[in-house]
Amino acid sequence: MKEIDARGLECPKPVILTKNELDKIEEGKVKTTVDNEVARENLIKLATSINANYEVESLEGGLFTVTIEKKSIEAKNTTKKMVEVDENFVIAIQSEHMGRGDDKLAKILIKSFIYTVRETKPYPNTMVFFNSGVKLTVEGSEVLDDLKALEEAGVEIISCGTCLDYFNLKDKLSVGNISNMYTIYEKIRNSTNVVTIG
Amino acid sequence: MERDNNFLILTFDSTHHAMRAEDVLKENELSIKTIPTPRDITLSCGLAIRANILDKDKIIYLYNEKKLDFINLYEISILNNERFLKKII
Repeated sequence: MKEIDARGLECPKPVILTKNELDKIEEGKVKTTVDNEVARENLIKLATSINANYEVESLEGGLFTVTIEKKSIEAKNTTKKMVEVDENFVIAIQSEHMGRGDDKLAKILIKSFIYTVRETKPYPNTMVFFNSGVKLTVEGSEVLDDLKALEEAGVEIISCGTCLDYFNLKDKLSVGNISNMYTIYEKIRNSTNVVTIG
Repeated sequence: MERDNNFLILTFDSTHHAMRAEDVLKENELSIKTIPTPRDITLSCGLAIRANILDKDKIIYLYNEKKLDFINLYEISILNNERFLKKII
């Protein structure tokens, strides 16, 4: 296993170093030590983006190690087939309401929509939640079971950090990851099929 | 809500009825989910409620006591990827 000491390095250095090492190998593990949470989260994102397994360990002194295991292309193809994800499809949810007119109805419609996403394959590559849409990914949301199942099947669930913060929900996030506008834009830009709901 | 291959579907003749039933069932602390009406059930408005099979007696009781209103109650079983629909009410 290759080990990288990325302590004291500025973002996005740890990710670049780790990615370079992963690119060099067919399969195997790369273990990176970092000294902050942002770097840790970015390494996790790297692992998810290349469809690799990862392990995170917290060490003393605010250090973390992230071990990313790269699978051979063959192994990767079998997992992909199983999850049936449409790599090019992104759903952006901009509100806890689906459409305007009546809020109570709109809340029911969005629940119904997310249930339908879960029931229908192929799944989207990513679901992005922003503005009051983030209320769907936090504690007490009635669609958590659907979103958790989608996440388990390989769908990336991303909530806008600014929005969670605005609604005071940052510590209530119950599915997926917190992200910023760069990631949200990246997801949208890298897809030709983006559907906005809300 | 527990995901299994055996569950109940309640159907309604209007969206308002479905929303009212959702409130009643939640007040009674039943674990339910409002979903689009499954395609194999046609006589209904667009919304249906999916409920736990273990709550069957409770739902029938609420219905008989006229506390809960719906048109039909179905039991759905999925066996080897095939859906079986049984009309209870």
